[in-house]
Amino acid sequence: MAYPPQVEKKLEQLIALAENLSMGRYGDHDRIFAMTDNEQYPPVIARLAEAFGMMAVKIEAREFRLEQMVGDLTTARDELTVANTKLQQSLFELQQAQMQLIQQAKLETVGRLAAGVAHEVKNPLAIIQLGVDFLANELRENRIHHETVMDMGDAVQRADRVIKGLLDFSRSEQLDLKETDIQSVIDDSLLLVRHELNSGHVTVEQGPKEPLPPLMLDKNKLKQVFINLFMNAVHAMPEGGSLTISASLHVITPEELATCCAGQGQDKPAAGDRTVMLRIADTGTGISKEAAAKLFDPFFTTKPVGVGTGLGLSVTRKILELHQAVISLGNRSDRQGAEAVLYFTF
Amino acid sequence: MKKRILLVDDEAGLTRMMRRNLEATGRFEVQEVNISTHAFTAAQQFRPDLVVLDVMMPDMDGGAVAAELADDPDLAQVPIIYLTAIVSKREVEPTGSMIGNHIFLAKPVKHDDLLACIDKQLGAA
Repeated sequence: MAYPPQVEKKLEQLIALAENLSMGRYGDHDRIFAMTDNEQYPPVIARLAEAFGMMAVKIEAREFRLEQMVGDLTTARDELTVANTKLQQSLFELQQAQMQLIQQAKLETVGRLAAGVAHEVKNPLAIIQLGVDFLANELRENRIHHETVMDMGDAVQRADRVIKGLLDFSRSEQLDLKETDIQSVIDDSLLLVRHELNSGHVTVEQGPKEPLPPLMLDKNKLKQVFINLFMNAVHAMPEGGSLTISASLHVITPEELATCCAGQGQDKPAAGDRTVMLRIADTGTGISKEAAAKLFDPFFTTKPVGVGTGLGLSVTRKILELHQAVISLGNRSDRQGAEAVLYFTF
Repeated sequence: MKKRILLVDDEAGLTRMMRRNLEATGRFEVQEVNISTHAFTAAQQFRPDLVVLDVMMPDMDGGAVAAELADDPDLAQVPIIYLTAIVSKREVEPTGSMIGNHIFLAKPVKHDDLLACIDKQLGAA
């Protein structure tokens, strides 16, 4: 069926405009509405153009609304993402707080039990020790018997070390603070572990000794802290290695503070505080991910049976807390071993 | 002549072990007391050259026993070695440390350390 050429042409124009519309081009409204002129166009074309024009306008308006809604949804989604991140952060903080509480409770329980247990266990140990001494003397002539009894004696000494650790732990509350040069405490502590350092083929490298302010410290307790850290370093380097110790003035940053172990006392340093920073680094095996979470748990140890009591770092942390100091333990940034960083405010 | 050592501790097992070790040296005559309230009477009869005295005991602690001994003119000069489970070895030397005017040994003490401490006190007395 043929249409008059004028109608056919107009229909072709409308088809082209419909195709434009389908591709999202909305700039043809004027051209469409121009075709509604009854004077120039057959009435059917004019009506078609008018209906088509209205449809185009409505589609454009709907698409505009749709875009607005997509925009709103995107904003809402972004807000949700932010809220979710915050929630996750809060959850993490809650979990941290809960862990700290558990940790605190554990430490308090250990502290309470320690003194009582120590006293009760020391008497039986004393009896066994003296019995061992007596038998060792009596059985000197028989090598096997003598060795057996000496092994029992070693076991008594090992048990005694655990008890000693407990007593240290329960007694770390009382401090005898005096103005002290921290460098001298380090030097004294190094002297006390000299034998272990030498026999473990560990060399000590000390950084430049810059002048540091005197700190209010309990010298003996601090020695205990350093000896613990030095011995941990020695045990982490079974093939020998190097122990680097440096002390310097340092303003503690929020990032550094965040790496310090959780559950520390209320009076710990705040970001921006001036501190004496002490870095003790070894070239040992480093700290595994699994161990990192439990380092300060009482009775946690990675050392072979009989070498570690698992109390060293709990005591260390407690003593540092009482000094309003914090400690961060982790692997060195160059992955060559582990390092302990201690911050003392003054 | 053998030196007389009085051992005062509520743990009978402990005084027995100390006695066996000390007697095995052939140099000591040893008496044990496990009830602290009996310590003073035992000391008056035994006339020890040295007393090894536990600090924490039921009924009467080591400090009270020592005060009784100090009040007796015949026993006041007898050296006392205090044995204690309260202090740890880190705080006292293996062969005894002075805390105030008193010499302390930490439990569990080794026989050799006890012997060294006794000899030192007897030598000084």
